[in-house]
Order: sequence, then C-alpha cells, then structure tokens
Amino acid sequence: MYASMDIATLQGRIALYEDMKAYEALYARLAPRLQRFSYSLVRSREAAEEVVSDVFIKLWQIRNTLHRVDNLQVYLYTITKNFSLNYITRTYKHPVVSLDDMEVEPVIHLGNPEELYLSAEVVERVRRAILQLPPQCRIIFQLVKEDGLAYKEVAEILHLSVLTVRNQLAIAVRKMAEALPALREPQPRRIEK
Amino acid sequence: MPLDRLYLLYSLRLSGEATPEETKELEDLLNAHPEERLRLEVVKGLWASPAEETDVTRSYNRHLQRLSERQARPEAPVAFAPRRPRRILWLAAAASVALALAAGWWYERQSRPATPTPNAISTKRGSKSRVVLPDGTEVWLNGDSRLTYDAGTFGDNRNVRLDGEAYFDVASDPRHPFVIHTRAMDVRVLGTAFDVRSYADELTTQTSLFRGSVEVIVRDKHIVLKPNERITVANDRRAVTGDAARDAQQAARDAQLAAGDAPAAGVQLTVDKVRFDRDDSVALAAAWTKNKLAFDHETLEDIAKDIARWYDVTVTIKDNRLRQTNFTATFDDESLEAVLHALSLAGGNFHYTIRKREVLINP
Repeated sequence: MYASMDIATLQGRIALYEDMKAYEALYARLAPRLQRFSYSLVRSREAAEEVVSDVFIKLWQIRNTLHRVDNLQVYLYTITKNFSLNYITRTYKHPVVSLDDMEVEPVIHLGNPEELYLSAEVVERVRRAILQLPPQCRIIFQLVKEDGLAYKEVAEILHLSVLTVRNQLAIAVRKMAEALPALREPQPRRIEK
Repeated sequence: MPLDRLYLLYSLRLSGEATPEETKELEDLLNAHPEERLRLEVVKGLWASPAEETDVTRSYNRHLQRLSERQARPEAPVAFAPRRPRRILWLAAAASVALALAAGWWYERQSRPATPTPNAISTKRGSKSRVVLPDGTEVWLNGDSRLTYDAGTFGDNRNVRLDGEAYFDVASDPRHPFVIHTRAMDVRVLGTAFDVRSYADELTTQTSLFRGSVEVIVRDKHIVLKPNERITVANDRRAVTGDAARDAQQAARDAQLAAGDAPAAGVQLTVDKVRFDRDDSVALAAAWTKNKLAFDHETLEDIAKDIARWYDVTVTIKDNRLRQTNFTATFDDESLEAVLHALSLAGGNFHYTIRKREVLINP
C-alpha cells in the first residue's frame, strides 16, 4: 500500500501523523539513490550509508514542518550533497571548492548491452568515455539518467543553471555516441517496450 | 557542427525534456542523418537502467538504530524548518518561510520568561557524544567534556562554554557570531569547522581550524586563524602544579611562532600548522571524531591522560624521564593493550601492567 504512494503523499503522512511506515517507505524509495549520489562524492560505501542515515535523521527531526518543503526529493538530494561535502572536508586535507575539483566516482548502469548485440569491448569503450567526462558532467549524467531527475531539479541541487545541465547532458550523449562504431548495416529490429 | 544540435536534441528526448517543437526538429535531423539514427538507438538502449532490486531492510534497520541513539541524547529539537540558510532551495518559498520563522520566533520570545535556562551536555571518560544546537550547529564532544549554553538567549547570543574537547561545525549566521568560552581563550566564529581542546588537567588550550575562519581572543589579544592553523595557549599557571608550569611555558615557546606578533605580556601563545596523519590525511587534532586515537608529539604524561579519558582507566607512570618521552602515533579502534604494547615498543621500552581499571607504567 505504502509502496504505491508518491513522495508527496509520504511526506504529508510523516508531517501530519508522524507515520513511521511512511518514513520507512520513503527510505526504501530514496535511500538507495541518495546513497549512490553520496557515494560518487565520498567514495566509500560505509560513509555514504552514514551520510544518508544522517539525512534521514535530520528529516525526522524536522518532521513537524516537513510539509512546508516544496520539493522533498530536491531537498534531500541537496542535504545529501552538503553532508557529503562536509564529510570530504573533514576527512581530506583540501577544502572542496567546486565539483570540478573533486574526484567523483559516478554509479552508472548501462542497461542490457546483450540485447543490443554489443561486444564487450564496445561497452567498455562507452564506459570509459563516460568516465572521461569532467566530474561535474558525470554527476549531472548520473542524476538525470539513473535517478530520473528533471533538469530544473538537477540545476537546483548542484547550484547550476538549467542551460549548463542541458549542455552537459548533450556532451555526455555525444561522447557515448562517438564511442560506438559507425553502424553500416541495419540492426535487427527490436520491438520497443 | 550540425551533429551537435542533433546530440543536444537527442539528449533532451532521452531525459524527457524535449518540447514538441524540439521533437519535430529531432525527427527531421534524424531523417537527414540515417547513420546517426542507428547509433543513437543504441545509446537509447544503453540509457535504460535495469530495475532497482536492492533490499533496503538491513540498511534501514541500521539507520533506525542510529536514529534511536540520536533521539536518546539530549538534543535541542529543531522547532522550525532548518535555520541554516539554503540559498537556491528556498528561493521559491523564501517569503513564506521567512515570515513563518519570524512569526514563530516572535511568539516564542514573548512567551518565554526572562530567567536564564542553562543547558548542559557532558560526556564521561571513554565516551563521545554528538549534539545539534538550536541553530543547527553540530558539536562532537570527546570524553570527559562539558558544553553549556543558555537555551533562552542562545538565539540572540550564540555563546557556549566548553571544558574538555569538542569539534564544532558551526551553522553560518553572519548576524550572530558564535562564541566559545574556555578557561584560557575565547573563540569567535562565523561558520566553520574546527576543534577546541581545553582540559583542566592539561598544560595548554588549543584550537585547530579546518575550514572558514575564527578569531581567537586571549586576554585582550585578537588572533585570526586561517584554515589548517592551530593556536596553543598555556593555561593559567596556578591551575597546574609544580614542574608542569615551567614545562608549559617551555612547550609554548618551543613551537614556531607564525603569527608574527609578540605575545601579550604574561601570555604564552603560539600559532602553527595543523598536522595531518601521514597515511590518510585525517588531521591529528580531529582524529578522535573518526574514532582514531592520535598523539602528535605528545609526552607520555599527556598521552596517559588521553588514554585515561578514552578507555576510562587511571594511568600512573613511575619514572620522571619516561614521563617526558615524546610520541607521535595514530591508533584506529585498537584495544588498550594494543596501544600500550605499540608505545612500549616504539621507543619507551617500558613495562606496563593492566589490572582492572588501573594501568601502571614502569621503566
């Protein structure tokens, strides 16, 4: 039942009824992707899990006014980003100035290459092309492709303009396409799902 | 390059952001470049993510554990939406939120009695605690430490008193400077991360800065610290007995004087660089927040005090020369036995016995 509720509904139930089942459903829905996001910044699974746990602790602490938050997903991503950057600054020497200065390890899943009749080396080429993108571009790519966030939301979370997000995504797609060999013969037709 | 436009439009389609006009333009371009159409179909196939299979139950249980631990500690509950100003996020709702905060805050001020309401958080030896203050500042208290503040006036006057050691991550609020009072120095802050160490039984008080800037006030001298700088001040001589007082002055004088100013008469202070653990860049002064026990050029006597607080034991050193031997080391989650063993091998070559909660060190 809770699994089918959308985020705004869960948010409302937590704020009004302190509904712990809604809290758990929200965690199930968002924690994995927030952990992936944090992981790409802090690069440690334990640290990422702890950061996201802190985020959800904070969420619980402000539960009574939670309904005032406009876009809960963006809010949680933003706190996750801040807590992750705090963690990095505490743990490493250099204070973080901008995302492009950071070592970023994006979590990217290239879906079903077998179905596309791609050889392992081509997939590897695409993967490497993605890893060679600048850090900020990689994060944007991860947030849009993996987590399905809107450009406006990504711009808000990362303090960028929507135009930047647009251009960075275009670059990512171009790099992916360029990593593929020129296809001379038509591929077997697949039924679109 | 015409293909750039094609890739831009295709990326818009993949992320679901294309307008009808853009979709039409994309179709036209794809018709004009059939070889690209095939390539981009492959990209589209790679774009799809496999369905998320992760089972969050264990992760959630671990989280619940931390949440209940956090609830059990004396923390000031955040009554309003987070005070920490979040710039872009609050842009849309800024006006209404600000009004809500102002209205709520006014109401609280009217109804609160004038008498001061002190809040105190303290830790015993061998334990650590994390606290969030009403303004969102996070404080990690090390063992045997005590933090006090007046809950009633904290909103206007972010003043706290610290005895012991704490790591602060101060919420930014330029209108209300955050001030930490310790016996030997006051630390004035505007939104930064740093560590303050002021134990009554130690010879010196130290503040180490990691991020932002703080102003340290000793008697009437004002010193501004930059990131990765540390200031050391000798504690009041009367509070420390015998030879130790002389050693304090010597210790303070021996460290490099980086501030360039002559110290005020009667006050010995030095500014030097924060030292980092060679192996993994954790600043030694903040290692304890990561559950690492770290000694930075400390005498066995001072190390004994750290160990006493960390493991909740009493440590007695029988030999004066042994007491003055220096050590620099980091221990990550080790037992008391392991720490003593490592130290005795490293250069002390001493013998130690552990009986219940008493440690005896002999040459």
